[in-house]
Amino acid sequence: MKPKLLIKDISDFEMLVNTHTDKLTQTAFLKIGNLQDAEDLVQDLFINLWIKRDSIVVHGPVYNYLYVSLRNKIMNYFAKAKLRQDVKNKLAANLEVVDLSLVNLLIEKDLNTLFSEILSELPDHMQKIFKLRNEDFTLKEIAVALGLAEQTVKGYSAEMHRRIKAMLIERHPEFARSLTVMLSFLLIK
Amino acid sequence: MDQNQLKKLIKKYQEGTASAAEKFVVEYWYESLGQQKNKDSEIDFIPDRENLKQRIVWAASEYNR
Repeated sequence: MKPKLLIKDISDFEMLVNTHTDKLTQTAFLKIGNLQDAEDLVQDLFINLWIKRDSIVVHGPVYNYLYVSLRNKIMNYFAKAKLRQDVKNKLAANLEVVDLSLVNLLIEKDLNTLFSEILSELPDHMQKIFKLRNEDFTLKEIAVALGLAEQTVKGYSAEMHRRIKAMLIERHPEFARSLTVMLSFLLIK
Repeated sequence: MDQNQLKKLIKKYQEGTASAAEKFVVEYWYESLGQQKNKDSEIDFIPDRENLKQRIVWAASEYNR
């Protein structure tokens, strides 16, 4: 699709409003949980488009452009200092998802590398234990395999968890709490 | 992660200073909003937003040069 001026005149604008208002309002409402505020955000969005119409050029599908504009509006809305209780509840309900998303992120992306870096800094016996734990061996089986007492392996294992956690938090202090959540997925089996 | 941490992340995101990881988290969180099916979906039963549409077009005409 060729880039084109989104709104040339008021009839373009009316058409845009008539076509997209329902969907945008529904999206905003689902995201923030308050219909009045959702309508206000959508109205704001369209009025901004109208004011800046001479400079708004759209490169792809119009709805995608509107969706991203709405996302910005909603992000600003959530970033505002004072939120009503119902909106706060909505926000809180989704915080667990953020932690889960971190877990995915840490497993799939750059922290995979970070993790192997951290592992390589551990003493040999801890690396072995980590590897075997990841292969679902029990502490007892690991003890037998390494010729150690089960109690010793338990101690090494706890120390290993402590060190991995400390090293991760040292590198990513902003995610300290979420890292704890992540470790509960990765390490506690 | 608490609300203040999330707000800080959103602010960084909006200012364009978020790292790739932080961007991923904010967008993942945003996409997850409203995904759960619950009583919120009662908006389905609210008729088209004709009043809102008229209000928007009227407000725009107020800005006309």
